[in-house]
Amino acid sequence: MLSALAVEAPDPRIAAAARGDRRAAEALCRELLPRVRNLVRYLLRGDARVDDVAQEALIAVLRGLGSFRGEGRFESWVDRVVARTTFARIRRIRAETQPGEHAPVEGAAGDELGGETYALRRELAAALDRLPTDQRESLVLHFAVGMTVPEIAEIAAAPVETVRSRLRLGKAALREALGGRDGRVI
Amino acid sequence: MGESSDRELERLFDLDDAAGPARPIDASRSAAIVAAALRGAGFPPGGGSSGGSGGAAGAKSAIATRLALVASGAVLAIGAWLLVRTPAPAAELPAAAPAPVVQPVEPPPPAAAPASAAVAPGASEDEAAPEPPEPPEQAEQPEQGDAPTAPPSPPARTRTRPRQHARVEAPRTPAEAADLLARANAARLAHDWRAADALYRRVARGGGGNGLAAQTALVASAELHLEHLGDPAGAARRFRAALAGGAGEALAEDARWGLAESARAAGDAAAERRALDDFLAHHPASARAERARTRRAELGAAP
Repeated sequence: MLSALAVEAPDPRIAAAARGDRRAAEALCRELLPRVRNLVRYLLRGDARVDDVAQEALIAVLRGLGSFRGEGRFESWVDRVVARTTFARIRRIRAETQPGEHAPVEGAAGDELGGETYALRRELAAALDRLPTDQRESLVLHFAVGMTVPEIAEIAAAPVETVRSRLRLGKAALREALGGRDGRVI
Repeated sequence: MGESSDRELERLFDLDDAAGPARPIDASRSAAIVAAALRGAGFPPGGGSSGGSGGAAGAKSAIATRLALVASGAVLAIGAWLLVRTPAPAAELPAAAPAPVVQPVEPPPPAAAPASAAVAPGASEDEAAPEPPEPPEQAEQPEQGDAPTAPPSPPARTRTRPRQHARVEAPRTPAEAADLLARANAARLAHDWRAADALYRRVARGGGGNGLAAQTALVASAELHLEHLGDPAGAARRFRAALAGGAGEALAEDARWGLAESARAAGDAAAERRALDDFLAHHPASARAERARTRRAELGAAP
């Protein structure tokens, strides 16, 4: 498993892919794709563009492999690349979207394959879809990508206290959306 | 909300496996995304193990097979094209496409562009580098988009047509075309859009006898005009020329998508509707099809 290898020593496929080894790159992409798609979905409103953006993000990962120095987990590095790529896309989408126009908020559970975890994450994504973008981004970067508040502040070009505030508000909104019903989720 | 709920959230947001929140996709769809990413990152076509079973993946697989049969120059050409057609490198700084570079290029850009068009090539470039005829159904597309969208730059260019013709000398052999494409790639990676474009346009003039390389370079040039040179009308002309020149399946998909993007960039909703309809008619299973449908719905019915 990619993550296990990455913790102990850099996965040799990373260097091989960076040198242009297609097999290694393909293997990495196949392993990373579910994670990348999930992160993109957390960041994007709705499902429509997930695969498109995930593909862009994988391209960015492959192109940036040479800059991965083996410091820290490979997956963490990938997450940051994916987040940056997705933000770039979100900004383009935002620039193209009329004020007040949003992608439809899609259903959470009930229409899907998968078990309870999947249903819960769909519900979480649907709740994120209803949050202001700034709060959503802060929550995902903090809880999914593992960024610290100062790191988020840097990427969001916002003061640290603003990010803290977004996190507080976002968490409260999520608690209301998810935990309010049965008091169990958060 | 305390630490325990924070830990709950961390668990909930876990990205460790395929259990959502992204909707599940089947193996062929996954393979298609991976294959497209590999191509987009400049990896040469593989032996088919990454190809999907249908849609975009099928088309890409077909062209990969075809490419395997042509000269190495064409393979390099595809690499060059893939580098250009994909978004700007995003690993470290993905926030936005880099601003067009305004700098002298040797050889210099064309003569007819007005001084205010320092970052947007004018029609003279097309005159300097003749392209295949355009499809008649697109002939009504307005050309006013040729007007530069970028801010004026200092008048830095006094160009003469004889130098242009010297610049756009066509390659004589596939190897020469491949060399030009490699140089175009390097220029593009250095964000020297104009130099890259000049080189692509040279290859587009016959590809040194390799038609695929020529069409590839034409699409690459179009992408530069669309994404970096602020010239959607010029981009549209090149995309149409690539289609008229018999671009293969994968190139045709890019060209049709590029036409829609060019129309959008030019603010021509009618042309964008037509281009999206055409794209969806020809590539209904493309990875971009969902975006195309979404955008088409946003545009609504033709007035």
